Amino acid sequence: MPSQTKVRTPSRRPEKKARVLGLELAEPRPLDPRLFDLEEHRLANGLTVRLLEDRSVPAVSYYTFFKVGSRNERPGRTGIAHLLEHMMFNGAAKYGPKEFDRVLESNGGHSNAFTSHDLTAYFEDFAAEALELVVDLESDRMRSLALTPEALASEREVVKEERRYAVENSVLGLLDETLQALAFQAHPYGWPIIGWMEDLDAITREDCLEFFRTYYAPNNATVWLVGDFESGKALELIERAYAHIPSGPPVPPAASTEPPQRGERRAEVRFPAHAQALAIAYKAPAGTSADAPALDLLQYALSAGPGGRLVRSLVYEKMLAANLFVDFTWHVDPGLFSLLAELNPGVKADRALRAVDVELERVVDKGLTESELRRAKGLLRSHLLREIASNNGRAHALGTNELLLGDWRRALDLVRLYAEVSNDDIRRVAADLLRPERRSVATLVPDLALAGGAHD
Amino acid sequence: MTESAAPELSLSSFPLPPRHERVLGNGLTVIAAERARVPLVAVCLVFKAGSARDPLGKAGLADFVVELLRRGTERLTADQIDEALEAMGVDLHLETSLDSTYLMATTPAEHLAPLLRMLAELVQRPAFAPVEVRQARKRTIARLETELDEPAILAADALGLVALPGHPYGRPGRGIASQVATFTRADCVGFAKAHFRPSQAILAIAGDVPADEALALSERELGRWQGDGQELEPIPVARPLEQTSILLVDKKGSNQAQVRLASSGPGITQPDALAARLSCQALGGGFTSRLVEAIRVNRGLSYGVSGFLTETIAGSLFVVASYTKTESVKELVEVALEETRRYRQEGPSAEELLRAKRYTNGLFPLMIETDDLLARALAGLKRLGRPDDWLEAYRERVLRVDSEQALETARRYFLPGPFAAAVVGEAKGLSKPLRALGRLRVIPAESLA
Repeated sequence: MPSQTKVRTPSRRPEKKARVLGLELAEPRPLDPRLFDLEEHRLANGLTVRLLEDRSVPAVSYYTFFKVGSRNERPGRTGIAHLLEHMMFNGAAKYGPKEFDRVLESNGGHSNAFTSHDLTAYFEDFAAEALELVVDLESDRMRSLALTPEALASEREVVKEERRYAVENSVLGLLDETLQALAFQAHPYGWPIIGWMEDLDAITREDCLEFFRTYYAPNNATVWLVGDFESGKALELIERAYAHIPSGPPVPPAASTEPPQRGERRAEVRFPAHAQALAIAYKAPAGTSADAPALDLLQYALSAGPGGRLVRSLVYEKMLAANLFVDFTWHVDPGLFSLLAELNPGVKADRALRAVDVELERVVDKGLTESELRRAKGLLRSHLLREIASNNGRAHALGTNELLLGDWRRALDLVRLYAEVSNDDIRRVAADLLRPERRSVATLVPDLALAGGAHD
Repeated sequence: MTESAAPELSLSSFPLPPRHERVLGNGLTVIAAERARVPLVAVCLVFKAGSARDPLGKAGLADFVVELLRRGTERLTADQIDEALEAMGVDLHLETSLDSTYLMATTPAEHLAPLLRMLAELVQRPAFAPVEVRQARKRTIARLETELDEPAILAADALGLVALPGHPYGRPGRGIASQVATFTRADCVGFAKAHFRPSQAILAIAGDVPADEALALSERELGRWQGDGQELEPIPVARPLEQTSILLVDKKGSNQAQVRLASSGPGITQPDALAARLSCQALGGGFTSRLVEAIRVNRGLSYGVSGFLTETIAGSLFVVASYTKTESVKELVEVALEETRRYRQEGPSAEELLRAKRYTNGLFPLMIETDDLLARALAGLKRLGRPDDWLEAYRERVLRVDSEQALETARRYFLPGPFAAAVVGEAKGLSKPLRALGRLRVIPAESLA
């Protein structure tokens, strides 16, 4: 039945209004509650279904989320979640190899997927007329994935090529992989989502089948539809297609412990690059933490746009870095608050690190300026609105919220939660986060002597 | 619906918001469309000049100048500009393509007036302060050097050099360090004066603001913008290559190579451009094209492969783009050439062409789903001089492309004769197989900074 969700209007606490060239910025408008007016269902086999009608365009976005990611892998078989994601496009009982995308594209749709530390998601965007077909395609592969040895052999090579592209020939890819491995000693977040090269070679068809049986059953899946359809009819189609897929065993818990970090860690990676690069990671709370909104704002205040404190300081004022990114991605388990910087040629990573430290110490000491906090809120609010402006963006945002935070309604609260964060909150979470003994620092150092294939 | 559904596609009704257009007294064309889904509004200001207008010896100037627009005006410092934009939640997007320059911003609808005021300030009164020009030179040169570690960027530059030698489309729009070092304040002022003026610009506004209000605000904030200059000469169409030429960029320490193959394609406004686009879709678009199937699905040679048209005005390029481990480059190039040759011979099958049409039309509404996409599309269409009903008529026009046109454009454009190839990877191990294809030139990656 339709949810009785009410969208709360953003906070009306008095705030100093910003002025731009003599023009006052008006108060934010409330969101249209229909943006989140969805139906929630659960089939007998445990499949969770969310239906959100929106007739703005004659198209539908169809997401299937599985609560499995590299977090659920084991050493020696890293990369299997992502490899299986690729295999989901390589044929099932009704639609054989090469058919999934061919049939979908023939009917005015396209498809893609992604794997993260915590979840795997598949999505199709398509002309509204193709809904029945997409339900058929998606339920077919959940029911009866083929996993043929030929397809696995070929797809393994595709993924290895993806790894060469995204990690082994990429400054930021390689540095980020180094940073994650440094920051986590036990937790699966420490190994790359794409997997270690040797593990990609070692994964067998049986491993894939077992992984599929364990994590791809309907009781571990949520289907989200946002767009131009009629909910009653869509539910009927989904029930008919999915109801006979048996539920799977309870999903085993992930090996998700990590001992407390008791001192700063350092790593260096050599690469045939033309400039040094710097990565810093602080241990951060899980996405469900009450501090997550303040950390989101801190991330934006430091790095979103040229006015972000670290971008302004390192890229524009001191000209130490060509690019700088700060990331705080919500995770199921405690994750990282991290920074990656591609430094200008000739700049030593230690010098950039000192410049970062000066700025971060100021945040711990004094918090943000009033203007920085206001801008971070403005940017975050715009980004939220832009994300929910498309069918795909809304399905992605709500579905991800539900899996990572336990409830999609959290998305409705975010606007208010962000508006309520004070500078005292920022100072408090910054002081808790930015502790030297809980950080890891990785540097990438150019070494052109490596030319000639010293790395694989 | 099944895959054998009737070929007649139903074009589900898709009411686009009415567009209101006004040409201001200063020559600025303004288009506004109201659409209320989320309380946002998107603004796209496009200038009819891009990197192809970089003066000789000043590669990268257009990009450099547009980046400097936000680094200070006669009245505001860069920090003040950032502060104002970010308080409105605006992440200003500046972009230079070969033919055009874009300033794009999305903001909560209640901030349209201050956003337009700020855009007006940026384009009317850029300061190009000497200290900002000096620092931007330094930043740009540093960025060019760090981009030596981005194989895909190097491949794009190398392809321009080898496929369009001496042509304005062939020069690297991101700049060349030795030329960026010569950029002066006078260069910036001159470029902005010549190209960033109201009669050479289109402003499109789409979102949760009534169209007449958006037009009135545009008039109020941008109506006094002045600027004049001569009409720009059209960019000449590039001559096709007379012999196959390969540029190998030696990138030490790579275990994978970026590969590009290219030949002359139709200009975006040419009558056969849409047929070529659909034909190209079947050869190299989506996840089911012939190139994807041959290179990725059947052989596992690459994670990414595509065939596309660059969609520029004065002629375009048809490009095959992919990457693979060094030892597989020869095989990848052979497979790509063979698939393209076969496609030129037979053209798309009826099923392939139908799939390309259904794919294009089914996803068409998503190309203009959000306010920023719609604003950009409206500005871009006006910039190309498209008729007003272009969006409404687009899917019908797609349906009218027949297999003969698709075959003909394949024969004309998809590597029919001598072609250009750019490869970025460790030269050792690549020179020999590439030399077999045509005239080979090897340059160090560092020469592309």
